[in-house]
Amino acid sequence: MFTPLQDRQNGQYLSASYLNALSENAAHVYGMGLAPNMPFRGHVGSNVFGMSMADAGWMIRHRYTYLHYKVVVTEPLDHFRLKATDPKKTTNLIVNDSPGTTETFQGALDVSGLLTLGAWYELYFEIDFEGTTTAANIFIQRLWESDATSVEPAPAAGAYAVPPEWEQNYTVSAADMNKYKSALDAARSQVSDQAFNLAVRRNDTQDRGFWFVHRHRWLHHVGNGEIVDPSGAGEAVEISGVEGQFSVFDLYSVPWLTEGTLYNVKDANYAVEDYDA
Amino acid sequence: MAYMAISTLNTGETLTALHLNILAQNAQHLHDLMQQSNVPCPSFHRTEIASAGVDYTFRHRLPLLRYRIANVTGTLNYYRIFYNGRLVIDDEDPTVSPYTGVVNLHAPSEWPNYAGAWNSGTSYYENINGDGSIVLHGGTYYVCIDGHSGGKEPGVETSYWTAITIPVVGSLYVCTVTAAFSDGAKELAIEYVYEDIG
Repeated sequence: MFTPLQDRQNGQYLSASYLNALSENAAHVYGMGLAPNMPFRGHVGSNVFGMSMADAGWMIRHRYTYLHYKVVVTEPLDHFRLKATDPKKTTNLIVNDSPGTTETFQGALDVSGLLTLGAWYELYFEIDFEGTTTAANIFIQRLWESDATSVEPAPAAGAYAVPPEWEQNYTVSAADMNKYKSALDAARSQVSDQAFNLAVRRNDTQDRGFWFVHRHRWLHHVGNGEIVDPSGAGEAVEISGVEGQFSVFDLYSVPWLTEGTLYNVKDANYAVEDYDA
Repeated sequence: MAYMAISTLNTGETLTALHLNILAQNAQHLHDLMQQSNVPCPSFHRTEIASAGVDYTFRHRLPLLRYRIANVTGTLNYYRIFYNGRLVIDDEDPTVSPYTGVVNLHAPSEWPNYAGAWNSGTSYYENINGDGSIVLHGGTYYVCIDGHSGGKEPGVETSYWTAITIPVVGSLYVCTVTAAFSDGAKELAIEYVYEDIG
């Protein structure tokens, strides 16, 4: 449990409860950095035409300024476009109708003025090869948001130290206080200093879908689906949605789904857990 | 607000509100960075395919890579997993589907073709499909890039050996999963790969 803490003032009484909350927060953020880490699944296509929304799409909740993308093609293009759509409208993020002989399209696009913070979007590419008659390749390798324009490794740090537990009238020692430094610096080295918000590829399987390690209460999804316990112990749960629209399902209603459980969402077009509805 | 440097305190030093506030704000900063959507691993599934290769891009955080691969019909000839092109799982005789497992990306000594500590009198095999010999020498892991019958010291003979880069937190890498059937086009599912701790 993370507890937001108010700033302290010099001369203010230092309580055990404040220090314990600080300890729990430090331990909590270090633990968050140890939660399972999922990958970005891109796209590999090979044909004479290119690709459109029908070939692949990615769901994302807009949170950060920069949308990172990287696309590699093996033949000259007629045009390269990246779009974001929600049920109400489609927004052009990149329109490049004169790509020339460029084969790698990559960058960190500032989308803060284009997308609504907190809203869900489907991202997709419109890529047309310029009159090629043999199959050419398209590789979608990156599509995610960040608060930074580059990807930097996390700063190194020493080992994690368990923050102290306090009781009233304990003496505050330098050694105990320095454990906070060790704990937080270690957590930073595990989390990194950059936010990273992955886009999730649309379900392109018959009945496999998405694999989660459960963490958040709310499952945002598109279309009908089924929540399945791969161990077979828990009863499958149907989720219903509307094609082309984002729906939300309360995972607290699934009795066997505890934090850290590996589970599968089948059939839905998209599925992502989030901490709010 | 960015992460702020935390000073080390000495005994007898006055504990200031500023110091406590930096601790609290740093914890909040890290919490906010990690308060993200919890995304899944999207599966790959085809009902009729002879072989497949699927790329996953990771921003590295945890050392272990877990996977689950299934052939619903047919007989798999092999499945393989690569870290930046380097073979880290190689099952050439898969028997009972689904195939689940884990590999430690921080421990090349656990990868296929690890040949132990470098020995000047040993033959080493060329890296063709990410499968060259791996040795440990001077605390660094190297992969053989040009097969030879010995006498080429890693770290010195750079046309024969290249150092293996162990992923660091925050760095990007590509994980590629490949699989092929021995009996034609059949049903294959690459269900997940994700990073975890032990």
